[in-house]
Amino acid sequence: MSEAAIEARDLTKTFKGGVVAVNGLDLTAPRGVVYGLIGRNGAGKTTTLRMLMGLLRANRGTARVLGADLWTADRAARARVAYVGQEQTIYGWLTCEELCHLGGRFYERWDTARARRLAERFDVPTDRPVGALSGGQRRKVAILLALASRAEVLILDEPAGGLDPIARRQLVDEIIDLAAAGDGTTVLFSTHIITDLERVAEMVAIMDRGRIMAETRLDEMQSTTRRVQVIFAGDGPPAGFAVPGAVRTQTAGPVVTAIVRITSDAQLDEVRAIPGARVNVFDLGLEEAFIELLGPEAAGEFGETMS
Amino acid sequence: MTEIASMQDAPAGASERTISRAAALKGLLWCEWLRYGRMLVGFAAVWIVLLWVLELLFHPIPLLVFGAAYVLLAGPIIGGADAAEGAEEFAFALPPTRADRYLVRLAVGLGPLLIFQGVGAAAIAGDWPQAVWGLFVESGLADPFEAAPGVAYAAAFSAPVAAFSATFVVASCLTHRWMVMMAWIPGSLAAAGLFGFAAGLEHAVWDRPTGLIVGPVLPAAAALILLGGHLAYQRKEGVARAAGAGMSWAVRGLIVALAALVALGVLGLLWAAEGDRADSLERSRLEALEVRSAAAPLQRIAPIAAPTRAATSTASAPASRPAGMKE
Repeated sequence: MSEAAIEARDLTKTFKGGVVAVNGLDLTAPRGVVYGLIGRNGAGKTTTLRMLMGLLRANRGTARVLGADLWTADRAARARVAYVGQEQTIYGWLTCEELCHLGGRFYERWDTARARRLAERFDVPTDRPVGALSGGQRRKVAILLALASRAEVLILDEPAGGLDPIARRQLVDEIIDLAAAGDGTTVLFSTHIITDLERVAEMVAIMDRGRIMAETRLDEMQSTTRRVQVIFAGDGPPAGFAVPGAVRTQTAGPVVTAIVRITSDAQLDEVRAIPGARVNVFDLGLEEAFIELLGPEAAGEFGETMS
Repeated sequence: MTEIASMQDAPAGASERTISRAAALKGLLWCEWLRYGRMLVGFAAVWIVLLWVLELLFHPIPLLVFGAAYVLLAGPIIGGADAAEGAEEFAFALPPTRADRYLVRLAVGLGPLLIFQGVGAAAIAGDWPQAVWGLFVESGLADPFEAAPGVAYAAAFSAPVAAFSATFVVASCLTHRWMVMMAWIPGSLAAAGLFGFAAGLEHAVWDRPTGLIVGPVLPAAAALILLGGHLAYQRKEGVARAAGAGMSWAVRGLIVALAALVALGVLGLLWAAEGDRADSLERSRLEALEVRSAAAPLQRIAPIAAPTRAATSTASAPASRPAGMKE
């Protein structure tokens, strides 16, 4: 059995009209981790998650969850995975109670006690048709169903979208509880909200233009991403100059500013020893690191107001 | 807020069970029944009242109209409700496979139609409602038994089945709300084309419609269409939300125009069929009068049967029923 709970290799999806949503994506989420997927609007996060769930068919590459391709997997394999979509519409004619009954018919590890507890905690009316509930309450029902399934893998696409701050906090707490329970549940979720990511994610992948730009542990992401400022004495940097390990570089006159992933002390020494220039190395906060990695145009896309 | 009640077959806490395919299908069936139960019960109530109480479905043509109404309403709704409601992503993310969902939906939609049309056609042919209610009155007022040709029975059963199957498949495979709700147009056209082809073959073989080809060919074609739909549905990508708001007015207008054309066509067919039926009745009446005038004054009226009935159908009235008489 594979050690990775979720694995994608060379995953590619092109929609009608030639729009390439995901382009040769590689992703590996080990079992038992909470894995955050972050990226700008249109980066391809939702398409990636939908391909992993077998809702969309990849044009190229493979997507496996617990070793199974969910596009063709049988019911038993599918029952090990639960999903909350970004704009998911739940059956509106069923009540939460009826949906839970349905969940009990499908999921082998369905946990009624957890469903009841979550309904109370989220303050979800269980006897009214879901279609009559508010958007936020419907979202809570979707999350409740996914969590009560006790699936081995949870795939959540912007799960906090449309939730009020209290419900969002409750959701994050539930995910933390799942991670703390240590029963091997893997959570893959996409988000715009870096504070949520910071609270729960162990691993993080940054997506941009259909590809994973960086995939690492969250603490490593924070500790290895630096801003390097190189100030040359003359009019500008020499031709062909590049900061070692730079992800993005911006030049303004004699000043070259680069975002660098520092993976070793030797690399840091190499950066500091650029000849003929004064070098400053700055630490970055997590949010700043994400924005810098994705480019200045991403500023404003990551925050609590975004869904 | 109401607590989640104790759930049948669901564990009280965390535990592992093995869920068989039958149990999952039962769950799906329960879900679909909650969704379409009212509509199906409504159709069943109308069918019972029209056929068994009021006896308005006394001929295969009205039964065909009832079947067409079922196709029009139930076909798109049962076939493509997930896509139309935008719940397809939710449905496809649940453990049952697309094949499971397709088969359960098909059973929920096609099963009642088979009963309505099959039992209905048999009841009309055998005059079962009158037998059930015991409403034969030997009044002596002879009304020639209206014997429908075999092709009418074949059409009443197989045309709605074929139209529903095609509509169901089209609706299942579409992703756009408006197009899903209009799936009965291609479905009906496909069934009409098949019917025309089969009826043409009958003309070529017997020089008149008999129903001997229409009867088996349309259900066989429906089975093939459903099989193709089954394969296509398994390759369907789930839509995340209800599509439809973005459809241009030109496309909507085209769809409405098409629907109006099809409705006019159906009305025209019914009008033509009614004309034929009136002619047939008139001929039968005249033949009956000729027979009556030729018979002895005190002799009981001889059995009268339209030529087509004698040629195509032996499943006539019960033995106790006065032959050729109908209240």
